[in-house]
Amino acid sequence: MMIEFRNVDYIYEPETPYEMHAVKNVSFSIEAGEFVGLLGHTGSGKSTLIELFNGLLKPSSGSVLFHGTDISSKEVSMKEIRSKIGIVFQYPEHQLFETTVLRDVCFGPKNMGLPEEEQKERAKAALTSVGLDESYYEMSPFELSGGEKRRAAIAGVLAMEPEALILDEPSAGLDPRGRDEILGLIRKLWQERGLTVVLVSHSMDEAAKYAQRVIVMHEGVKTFDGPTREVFTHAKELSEIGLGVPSTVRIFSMLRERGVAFPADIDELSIDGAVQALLKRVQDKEGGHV
Amino acid sequence: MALIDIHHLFHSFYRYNESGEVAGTKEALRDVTLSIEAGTFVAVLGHNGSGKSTLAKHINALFLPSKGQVLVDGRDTKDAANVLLIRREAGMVFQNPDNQMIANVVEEEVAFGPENIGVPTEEIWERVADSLERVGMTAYRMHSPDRLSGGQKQRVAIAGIVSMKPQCIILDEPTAMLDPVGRREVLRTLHELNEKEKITILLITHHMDETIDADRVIVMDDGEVVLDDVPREVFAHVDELRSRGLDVPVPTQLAYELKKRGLELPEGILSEEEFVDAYMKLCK
Ligand SMILES: Nc1ncnc2c1ncn2[C@@H]1O[C@H](COP(=O)(O)OP(=O)(O)OP(=O)(O)O)[C@@H](O)[C@H]1O
Ligand SMILES: Nc1ncnc2c1ncn2[C@@H]1O[C@H](COP(=O)(O)OP(=O)(O)OP(=O)(O)O)[C@@H](O)[C@H]1O
Ligand SMILES: [Mg+2]
Ligand SMILES: [Mg+2]
Repeated sequence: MMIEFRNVDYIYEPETPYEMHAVKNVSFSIEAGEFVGLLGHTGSGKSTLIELFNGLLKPSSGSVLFHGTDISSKEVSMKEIRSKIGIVFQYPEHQLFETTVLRDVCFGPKNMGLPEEEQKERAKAALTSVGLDESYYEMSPFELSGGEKRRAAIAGVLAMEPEALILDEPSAGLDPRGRDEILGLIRKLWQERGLTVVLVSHSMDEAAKYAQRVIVMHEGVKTFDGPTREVFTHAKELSEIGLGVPSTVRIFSMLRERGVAFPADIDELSIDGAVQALLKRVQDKEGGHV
Repeated sequence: MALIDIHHLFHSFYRYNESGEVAGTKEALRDVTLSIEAGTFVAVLGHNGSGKSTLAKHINALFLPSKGQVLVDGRDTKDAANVLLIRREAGMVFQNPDNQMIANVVEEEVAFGPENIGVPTEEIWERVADSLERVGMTAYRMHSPDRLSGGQKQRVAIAGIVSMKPQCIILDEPTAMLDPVGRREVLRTLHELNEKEKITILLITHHMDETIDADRVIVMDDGEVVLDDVPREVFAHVDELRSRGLDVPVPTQLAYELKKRGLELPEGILSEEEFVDAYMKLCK
């Protein structure tokens, strides 16, 4: 078990008029090497959960364990946890603070005590992988466009080569190519290096495309937790809690409603799968066996 | 006369070294000429760094042309005397709502705009209530903007502009952090403001599906306008859009892939409903 939440509650500003019970009795565990999507309406508690992951927030009750040890216990080094669990925050502005883009991305590796040579190597490789070339190295992070800031923030975390990568809406502000390339890269790291990934997203299409498992939050409560395919069969419940299902799933459900039958085992979650199934249905009919 | 008239607009950013010399130049806008009629709903697409936010800031007179001219309702942004009028007429919702929250309470945040332009007090509160209702944030009236979630902040920022009843609203990725239902609500709000109150909408977005009901889609690439047409025409250029870092809505993509494999589907499918209708015909 890599990360485990046991009956975690989090209350912001307890016993004040602003008291907000943001996370309510949430339990789950994430194995090393899983790719988990974390979904939920705005204000459902996703970012709060994420800040609990690496000890930025302490549970009001319950506990968060990393490889079996409670991260709030004294023998745990926060510094170590933070280099092992890399977090890309929802607002990239909150993690960019150095004077140049290159220095910013070096910050993590530097903090880990790596030699300067290696800091730079890692930073440059990470910047290249998020599509920022040399012309960006000496720019101030504050001069970057919205999507460029996002890319720089992601590079900063990638450069630390963490064991687990927690991404809070990483694709917000990215253009479609950047989104596909960066999430594609993360999937590759997941496949090849066994990286553990938690991806917060408001895009059902994205969750369907990348996550094996999804956890759905609703008003601070964990409402669904299961294989992606299974969770997206709950179209009605998901839309009642501010979410929905991927576009392809909606299209198949409209077609079924209008009497077009498809086998139960088609892959409705991916474009490729949808194209295959849609094509086969028409070809079978033309071949005479409907 | 068009509401927004942009003539051969150029914008350069300069970077200086310690001794004050220019160490680098970035041409963020290159020879942009556009004219937007009052009452239209315009979507702006483009890869990261293509110049969308820079263009928006010109319309709001936050940036001045390095070369060329921007007229809002006939007023030149370069004339300092016009700036306040221009900002009143062209309200802007910025890319990061975090940067534009100043009040302690949501209600005050939304009242700030109308107060500034001298709306009478009773009417201010009416407008505040109405705009919060439109974005679904009435329940958070008395909350502190600091303590809202990302999506909630975004909606408050939109309410803040709506309450000023401007002629034109420019929104820089307003739905980037909203959940699917929130996104739909904001889009519906924008279309309602456009249809009922004839407010001109300029929507910058990375979500292709948000643009299918726009009157017009403008595509930017490296500081230039490269496509400018109705959504159906723009999204017919699947390969070109991809080469420019963009994409097409999922139903358009499905139709495109199926056509490539020999199915007879019509051109110009944008919505899920259109796709389903067209596909049904093949199953008859
Ligand atoms: N610092 C804070 N003080 C008080 N309440 C807070 C604070 N931060 C968040 N909240 C509240 O806690 C709840 C959960 O917020 P959180 O940011 O975890 O939501 P989220 O699921 O990440 O939403 P989004 O998708 O909009 O980012 C919200 O109702 C929010 O208003
Ligand atoms: N203050 C600045 N100094 C130097 N360069 C800048 C500055 N602001 C923006 N730029 C550069 O100008 C280009 C255009 O930026 P702009 O913010 O208009 O892009 P955008 O299309 O809005 O991108 P995004 O989709 O990422 O928000 C970018 O490459 C950016 O790095
Ligand atoms: Mg959040
Ligand atoms: Mg921008």
